[in-house]
Amino acid sequence: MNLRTVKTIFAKELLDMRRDKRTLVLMIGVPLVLYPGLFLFASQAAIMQLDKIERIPSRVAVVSAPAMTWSDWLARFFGAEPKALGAGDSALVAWVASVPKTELVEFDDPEQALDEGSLDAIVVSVEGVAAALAEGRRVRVTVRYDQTEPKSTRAQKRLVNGLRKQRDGLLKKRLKAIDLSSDYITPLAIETKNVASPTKTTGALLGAVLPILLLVMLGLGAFYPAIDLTAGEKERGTFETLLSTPTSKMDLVAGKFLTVFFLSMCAGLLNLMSMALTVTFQLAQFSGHALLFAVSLPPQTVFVLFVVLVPLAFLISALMMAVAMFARNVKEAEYYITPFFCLIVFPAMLATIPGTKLSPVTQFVPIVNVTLLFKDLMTDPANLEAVFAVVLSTGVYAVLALLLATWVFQREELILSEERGIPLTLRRSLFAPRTAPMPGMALALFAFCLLLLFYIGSFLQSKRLFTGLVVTEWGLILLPTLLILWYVRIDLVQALNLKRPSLGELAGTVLIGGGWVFLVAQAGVWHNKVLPMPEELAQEMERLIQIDQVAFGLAGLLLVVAISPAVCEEVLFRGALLSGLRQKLPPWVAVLVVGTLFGLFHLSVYRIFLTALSGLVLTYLVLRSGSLLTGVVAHFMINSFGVLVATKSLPGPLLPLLDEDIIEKAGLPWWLLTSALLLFAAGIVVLESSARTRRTARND
Amino acid sequence: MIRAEKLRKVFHAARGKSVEAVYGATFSVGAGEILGLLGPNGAGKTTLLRMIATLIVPTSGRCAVAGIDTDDDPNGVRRHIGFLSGNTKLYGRLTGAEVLRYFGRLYGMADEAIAQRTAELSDLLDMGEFLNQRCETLSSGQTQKVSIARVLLHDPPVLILDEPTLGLDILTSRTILDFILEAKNRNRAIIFSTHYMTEAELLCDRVGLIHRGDLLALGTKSALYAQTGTDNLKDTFLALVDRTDQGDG
Repeated sequence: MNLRTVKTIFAKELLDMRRDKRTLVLMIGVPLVLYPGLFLFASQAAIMQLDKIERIPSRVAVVSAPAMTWSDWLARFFGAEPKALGAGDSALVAWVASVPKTELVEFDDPEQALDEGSLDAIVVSVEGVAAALAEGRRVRVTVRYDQTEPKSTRAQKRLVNGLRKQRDGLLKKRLKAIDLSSDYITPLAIETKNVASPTKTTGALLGAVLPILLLVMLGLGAFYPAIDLTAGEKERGTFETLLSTPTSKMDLVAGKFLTVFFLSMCAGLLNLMSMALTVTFQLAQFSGHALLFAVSLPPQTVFVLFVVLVPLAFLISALMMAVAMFARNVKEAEYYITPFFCLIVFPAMLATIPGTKLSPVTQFVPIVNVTLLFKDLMTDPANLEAVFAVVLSTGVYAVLALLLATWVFQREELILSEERGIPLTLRRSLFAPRTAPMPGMALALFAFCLLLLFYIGSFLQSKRLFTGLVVTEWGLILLPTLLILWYVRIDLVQALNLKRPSLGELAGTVLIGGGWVFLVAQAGVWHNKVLPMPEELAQEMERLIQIDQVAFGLAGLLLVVAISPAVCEEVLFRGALLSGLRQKLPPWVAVLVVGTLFGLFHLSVYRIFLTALSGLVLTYLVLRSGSLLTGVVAHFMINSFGVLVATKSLPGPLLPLLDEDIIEKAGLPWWLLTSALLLFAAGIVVLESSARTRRTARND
Repeated sequence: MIRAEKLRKVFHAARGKSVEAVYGATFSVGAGEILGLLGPNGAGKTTLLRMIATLIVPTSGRCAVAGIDTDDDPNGVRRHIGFLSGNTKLYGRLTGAEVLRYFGRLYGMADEAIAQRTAELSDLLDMGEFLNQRCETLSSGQTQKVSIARVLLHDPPVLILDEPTLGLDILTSRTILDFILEAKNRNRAIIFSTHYMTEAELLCDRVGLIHRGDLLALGTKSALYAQTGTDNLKDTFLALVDRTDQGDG
């Protein structure tokens, strides 16, 4: 990748987008002007309306319905007209008149008036209220109103409140007459009190809304650039001009992608800011209620939000670009992206269903995981493991999407074709035979295996660790790797470095491996000081190892934990991935990248660093010797050493030195570390010299 | 400078159908030479030129430009090519000067070199007054001049021009044709396609006639006239097409 070229493209695309008025209006105008404006206008209008309803007195009619006898009911059942409503009972009229902000009105047909909206409510009772009360009976009072009319609802509330006061007064009188206190008839006073802090209450509310809003904003930010930079460029006929320059497709995609990503982030942050300002301004209007809506996010939470926002914007931008690439013109691209947009908002809406939580499965589901994490973050402090899982998996999807975009870019039939539809084929016969996978394909293969591990592997291992591990290694890592490489017609022997190492190289490998197992054990001690593994996690792992040791014996354990990863993971990492990346990257960068990806593959924030370190050593071995076998041997040594330490099955003299509890406290003795370092160094010397011999032999 | 051997391109259309757009084109173009490719629309001219310019990958066959194989190092090949076609338009929202700076940088030129070269070309093509206007505001003649400047910016030894005069008025066409002759005099290897026979007669040292993906004949104008017993390219072309079609029948 040529950074100067990428920068050139990025700068040009930004300039180009800046000069496009539509983009400016959509990206800056909408969030900063239109939408807070509308929001303010709508809420102001609502406030004014509410205020008006509050001030205007309710128009109420009081009527009395004659008491119905059972023969009246029968007559009505057979279709007789109901008896006409009479004038309101005088006692009731007096009560209603005393309710604040009500106004008594009279209508010939109050029901119709209520229906038409010229009347807000009707209060109905039987006749002779005062007499009935005097006899100690109960009188039914009905307030008829129209719930769809705010004015009518308001009248209903006013009337019910007013009549309740009357009821309480009457009750007090009756109790007094028989000499009872009002406490007597309410033996239990039931109260509820919300203990959630105002921050948490608002957080829960924001947590439901914010992710969707952000997603939409990120998407809107990416929408036009993604189309304009791909389909737009095709439509305007500048694509071929660009492709005729000595620029690699990778650089083109990178430059364009960065632009889309940048604009998407800008839109996301701009919207976030404008929303925050609008909301703050809004809250100032309800100063009396401010406490209920306290919005205060601790700075760490804001930082984590931002950290998660980055891969999310990355994912959305890459996906949109990949989709837009399939289109031949802007209109077609809009057709493709719009349903796709709904597709990404939908999972976010699912996540807002109350009760859905981040779990070992949901944390790997794209979009859903980010939404759920946001929801969590709004009410609770960040959980490192969850943030890690979400960022990692979103990152993986994002890289996959970017690879897809790059791949689409490389399909000449999509770039230059004027044909209708999508002329795309994956027939095996159309792949040119190659000696190593393309770098993009190697990365895609890695990501694919990682996804299998996310979804199937973790699940299987959580059910049964032992079987799960075997299936993961052979079925989810080795098999897909071999199948895919075969399908795209890669020469397996060359791509996987299947060649016999020289005796010297093998000796060097064993020395390096022998030294490394001690060094990495010491690194583990230091690592544990900086980032201690949670107690439960460590115990859980130990427990599973013990169960499986009992069930399968040490040999079985070695087979599953040492041999099968050594074979399967080496084929993927030091075979396919290394040979793919080596074509584009300088050797030391390839070692770094493969090592890091190897660390990431172990899906745990507590294991990344150490596995990545071992990954570096393994990658170096295979790169130097050119033989996968050296990687397999060293990988086996590292893993089996771990098993022997954990099961306390090391040979006699080593056992007391490497007891876990002792290591934990003091680390390895200095003389052992020094010997290990010497062993390691000696191994490097042996390996380098025999690799050099081999190279000179070949050059001769 | 250009050496093509049995270049062949098969397109896979929908439903498993495949179209042989170019089959087995073998030819070469030297420095200071103009090769014209003649043929009706859809004959395969564009596909052939795109393969040389490494915009598409040949199904089989080899091609080298300035000694570099298009398979081995497509970026290296493109560095030595100036490519102009009806589909190589300019960015409307950028000015001519910005377009040239952008492409100069993509060709790996230093900014000073770009500025210097732009000034030279601006004088040569008389672009001074409109170079700082956005391309979308330029007339077609002005646009074409900026395009030519874009092609010549990195001073490539090979020029590939796909129907460069298609749809242009006479004056603009003349600008293009002058520029092709000028480049020939500066010892560039030029391959261009057209379906205007008169242009070919005027410019080309050698002519290749393409029909339905097949390079029917290739040679100097006089050789082709002699071969078909005609005295102009139009009749030559028709005679060759008839001969092939009869051969098919």
